[in-house]
Amino acid sequence: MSFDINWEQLRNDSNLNRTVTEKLNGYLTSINLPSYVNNLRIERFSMGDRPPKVTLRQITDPVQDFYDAINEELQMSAEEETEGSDDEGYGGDRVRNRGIDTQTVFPSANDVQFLVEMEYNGNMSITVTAEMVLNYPSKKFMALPIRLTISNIGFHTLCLIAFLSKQLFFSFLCDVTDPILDEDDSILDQNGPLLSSKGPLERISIIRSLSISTEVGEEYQGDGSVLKSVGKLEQFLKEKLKDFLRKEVAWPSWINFDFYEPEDNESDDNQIN
Amino acid sequence: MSFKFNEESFLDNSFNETLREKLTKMLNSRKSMDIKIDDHLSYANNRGSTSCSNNFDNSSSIKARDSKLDILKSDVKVCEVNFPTIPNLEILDLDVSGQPRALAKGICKISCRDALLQIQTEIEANSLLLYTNISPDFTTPLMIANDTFTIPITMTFSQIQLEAITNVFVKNSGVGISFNDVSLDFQFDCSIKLLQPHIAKRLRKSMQLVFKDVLPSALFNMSRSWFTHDGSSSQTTTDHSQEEGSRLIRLHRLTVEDLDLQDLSPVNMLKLSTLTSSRQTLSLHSTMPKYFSTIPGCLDRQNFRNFTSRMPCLSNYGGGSDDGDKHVPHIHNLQNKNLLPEEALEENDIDLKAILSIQTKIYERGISTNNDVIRPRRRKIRIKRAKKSIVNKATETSSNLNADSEITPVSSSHNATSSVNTITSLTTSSLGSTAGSSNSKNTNRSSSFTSSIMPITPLAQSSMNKKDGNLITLRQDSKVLDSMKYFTKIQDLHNIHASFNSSRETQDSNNRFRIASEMLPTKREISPIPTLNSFIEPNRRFSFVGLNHKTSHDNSWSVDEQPPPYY
Repeated sequence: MSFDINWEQLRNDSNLNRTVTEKLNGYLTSINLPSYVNNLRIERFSMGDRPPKVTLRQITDPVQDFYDAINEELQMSAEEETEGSDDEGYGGDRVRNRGIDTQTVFPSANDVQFLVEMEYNGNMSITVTAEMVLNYPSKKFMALPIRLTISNIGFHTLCLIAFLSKQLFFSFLCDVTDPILDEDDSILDQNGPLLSSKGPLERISIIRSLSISTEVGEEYQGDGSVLKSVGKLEQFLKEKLKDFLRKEVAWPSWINFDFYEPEDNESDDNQIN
Repeated sequence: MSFKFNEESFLDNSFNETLREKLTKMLNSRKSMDIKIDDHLSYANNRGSTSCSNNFDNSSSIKARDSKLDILKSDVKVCEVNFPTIPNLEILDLDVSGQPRALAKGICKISCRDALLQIQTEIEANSLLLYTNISPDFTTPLMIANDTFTIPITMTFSQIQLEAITNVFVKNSGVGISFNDVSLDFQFDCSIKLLQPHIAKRLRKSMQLVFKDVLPSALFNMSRSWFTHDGSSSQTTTDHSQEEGSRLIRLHRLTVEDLDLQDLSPVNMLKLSTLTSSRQTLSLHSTMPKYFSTIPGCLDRQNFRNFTSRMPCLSNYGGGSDDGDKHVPHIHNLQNKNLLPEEALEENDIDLKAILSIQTKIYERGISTNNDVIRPRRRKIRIKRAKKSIVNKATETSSNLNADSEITPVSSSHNATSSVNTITSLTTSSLGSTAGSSNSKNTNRSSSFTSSIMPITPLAQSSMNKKDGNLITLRQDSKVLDSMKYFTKIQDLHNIHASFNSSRETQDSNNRFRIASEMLPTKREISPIPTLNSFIEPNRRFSFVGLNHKTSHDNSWSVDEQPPPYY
């Protein structure tokens, strides 16, 4: 473990869970939800008492792919600017030359890339509530409350964090074998280990264990029933989340935080934080 | 109660009002139903740009309506609807599948109490007149009492108690509801006391039909408008997309012209015919576990699993410092997992490049099978001072791509890749029927052959970010370039032969299969030497022949020699 996280202190800070909840709720109210979802908020958030393990494995120069991506982008914007009569394809040397003409990022001494192993198998838990709304015949005519409790999050992955030309790249590279998590998987797998290998090889799953417990419906004046632990719904949500992460942040996809500020802003000092 | 109803809409009577309006409309729709159907017909006809005689339709339907016995003299008017207690809707079971055919299904219990419904209309009491009106002219005797006698009638349903278990299916197109176990009870009160028992009896009889047929279809039709927001526009968009699809299909349909036929290589045709004919035998050679197939360079379906298990993945990744020659890929775990061994981390034996290339390869292979994501998503989040603005675009792609749209590849191999993909998928589907015939274009045929046998990465799918440097290193390898000529364009036969031979020579003697050798994580693969397909020029046609290899077998497949006997 390269990073020492003082989790005890976090855990004992009783205000922390509350502030995190408030911050998240503030964010959730600010975003635009689809019309059939209403009242999305975090009801409870608990950090858990086990810290994540973060281990720094390598510090190297950034891989070429990041430079390629930046250059390609610069090229595109340059092409958009100089877009005129010429509109034929991307092939050939001509475009490359033009790219060099405009702007190209080369590896510099300040660029750095970290290969970090992240491991978490703690008891963080989040409770989210939302309402599915039927806007017919009048607005918010009928609502179905849903409560999700997410816990038992476990992952053990290698991530790539690179910083170059004022941009931060983050990508999950691959999963790492983990005795506890692997065992979890086989239990969760309904088809058993022999039948499960039907589909194509999964590149990465990032979140290896996750339990979602659902509550659909709400009692009203002590009347009616609440549907609990809807297995299919839980499975569905899990798959969606995994797919989303795999699509968005798993190599060769990545997230790119751009800290570059164009100079036409009032401030011309380049801040890097 | 699981579902929460908005109490306000019940308190301020708005719900009752809307329901009253809807009911009035619905009850009167029966009268104008025929006209409506006509409207729909003519509308559909107009859309289909076939001019149909609407007049004829109208007149015929009016006749049909006239010939029915209709005692209603005026529209049905719903006077009052009242739900003093809020209905109760409980969810009993829920099943989410996420498939477009059936997104979700659930079992619900509906109950409502004390509801009140009052309708008013006028009826014709002179039933003799009704008969006279519809009977043909030649009937006798002539009626003298042919005055109308209109009586207003009010029917009140009070104390409606409904309890029902319903199955609800949510689909992409709408909501389907079926009512099971309906128990309905109400007090019926009619302003004409004489008719009350009779009407009550008939009503109770027809209730079954209402819950079995009328309500579900009405609800389904209604729900269609929720799902498509505004029905008309969505209709057109689906039409549009369909048109688009058919246009695309038309675009990629292969047309074989005489010129193309000249390009067909006899060598390839021979090989393809061998391949098809070998399928017609019952040879069991290929089931031997050691070999992938009896035909070199091709993979038999029963060995597919064996083959895929040797694909590069992190579980059989041996670390960077291994000696390439010693590295024998072993069959990886059966659990279909791609995990980096922890020991490799502990020993700090990490070859970042190898991991990256393996992950990229697996990603690309996923594309070829799923066909959904073409380019990796690389979102850019611009961070300014305090506030974040999320630029919702996939990297450097043009800004007109919105977040939900599939990302198109922008790398230089774009054109080649996408077109080859589509061609491959299209021809693969038609392969079964046309396998024996030689009418389609050879290049596409052969590429579809390989892909139908093994869903490996699309061959033109160059690893996206390999670029200039690789090109230079490759130029030094003139032999590979020789064979590249074959892949990039179809030249005369002589060239093909030459490339065949040269590609044969470039094979390592221990690499039994060309494709297999590309897939396997040999040292060659891991080292930065690019694969052949990473520098195919984008706009050229190319083909991949899965049979370009023959080393240790007796029946060598050079052009000068005879083809192997059919197995």
